This record gives sequence, structure tokens and C-alpha cells, in this order.
Amino acid sequence: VYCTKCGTNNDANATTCAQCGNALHPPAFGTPVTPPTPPLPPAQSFPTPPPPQQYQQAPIAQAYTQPPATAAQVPNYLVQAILVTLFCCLPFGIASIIYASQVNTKLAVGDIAGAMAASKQAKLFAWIGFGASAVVIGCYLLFLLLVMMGAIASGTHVH
Amino acid sequence: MFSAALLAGMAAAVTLGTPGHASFLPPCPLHAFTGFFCPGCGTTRALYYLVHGHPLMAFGENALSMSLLPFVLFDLFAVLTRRWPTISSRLRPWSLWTLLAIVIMFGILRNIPGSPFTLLAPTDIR
Repeated sequence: VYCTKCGTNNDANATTCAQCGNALHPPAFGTPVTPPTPPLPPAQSFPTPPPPQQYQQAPIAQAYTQPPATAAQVPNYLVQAILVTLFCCLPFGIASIIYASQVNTKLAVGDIAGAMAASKQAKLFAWIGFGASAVVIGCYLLFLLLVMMGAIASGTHVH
Repeated sequence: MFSAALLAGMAAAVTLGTPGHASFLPPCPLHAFTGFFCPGCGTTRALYYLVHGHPLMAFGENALSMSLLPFVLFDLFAVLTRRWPTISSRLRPWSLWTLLAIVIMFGILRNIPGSPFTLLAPTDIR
């Protein structure tokens, strides 16, 4: 169940959000998340057969199985992407920004599954970027430490 | 909580240390290895100037990151506190693609040697 307040994915039987404590309500019965746009029948001279019964039931089944996700609930990790781009690792940051843009692009056309997938990718690249920055900063501090120790050992003064 | 502590640490580091040569603040890895300026080069120095009360100098170091700063701060706060939805999730797709183009263009333009473009390149603190 996705929290309606912060968007965190909680257990299906959770009553309160693990992240923000918001009371979780089960998804309302029968409200279609993605109302599928029925394909417009092309202008034909012969009558088209009625759509199969299975298709009519699809929206309700979908509302049952899929968590309700609206625009605010698919995070695009743009801030993280910008921070990674500016502070350390340009390639990962740019990749993350691209996926962040895809999240909003796909949401705009109602492709929630696609937006979720892009969101996952944006998050992944943002974390790779954060990890890479941690490694870079760690290596730099280690290097600095070694230089300082070397300077102390040789008796020169460090500015 | 961890992120907040990290942010406070970064703010303290930028306030106390002087970025540039012979400092404990890390340089941009891309610039250190290739000599090119990335879109983020100069952000640490820009923050240093901002914290020390020189907003114009901050813009001189990195105009892009300083322009994005209010948005980043707000969204970071929104993400960390989860009190209200982020701006980034409400942005129209075209504005995100424009932002991506601006970041890439900024990264290219500031590497061009020449009169108008050198304004975008960061300057060094001596």
C-alpha cells in the first residue's frame, strides 16, 4: 500500500505508514487508477463486434492489484540528480536527470508503470552517484592524510 | 536524519574551510583528471562565497548552481521532511528536458575560451 501522504510503499496489511505515521486507507474499491482509453473504432461500414466481456472488467481488476499512484506519488529524484551532477559525478547525475524527466513525461501521458520504472532508474543512478562521490571524497581524504603524514615524517611544514 | 547531519556537516565545512588549493575540501574529480570544467565546478567555492556574504562572487563561480539553489533547497527540505509534495514532481515534462539541456549547454559553454564564455567559468580562490 502506498502512503497517500508521502508515497512510501508499505506492507499490504499495514495500518499506518512506516515512514510518516499517516493512517493508511486501502485503495477504494472499483476506482480505476488508469482509466484505459478504449480504442476508437475506425469509421467502418460494417458493424464492429462488441468488445469482449473481459475487457469491461479490466479497470476494476486493475484497481485491485495495482497500488494507487498519482503524480505526487511517483518520485522522480530530481533534487538528488541535480546534487549528484553538481557536486560529483556528472555522468550518473545526467543519467538520473534523464530518467527524472522520463518520470514526468510518462506520468503526463498516464503511463504509470513506465513512470515507476523510470523512477526506479533515476533512484538507482542517483545512488550510484552518491556512492561514487563517497568513494571519491574518501580517496581524497586518504590521499590528504598520506601527504600530511609524509610531510610530518620528512619534517617539512604544511600550509 | 542522516541526510540532515550530512548537510549540516557540508555547511560547516564550507564555512570553516577555504576551498581551492591546499584545502581539505575535495576538488571536482572531472576537473582534476581532465582539466575540463563540469557544470558543477565551482559550486563549493560559490557556497563558500555565499556563506561569507558575497552573493555576486558566488554567481561568478557557478551561475547555474546558484540559480538552482533556491529550488534545490526547497525540494530537499520537502523530500527530507515529507510534509509537502516536491516541486520537481509537479514540473511539466518540457521544463525538465529544458533543464537537462541547460545543464549540458552550461557545461559546454563554460569550457569555451573567449570573452563572454569565461564569465561562466569558475575562478580560483588564492
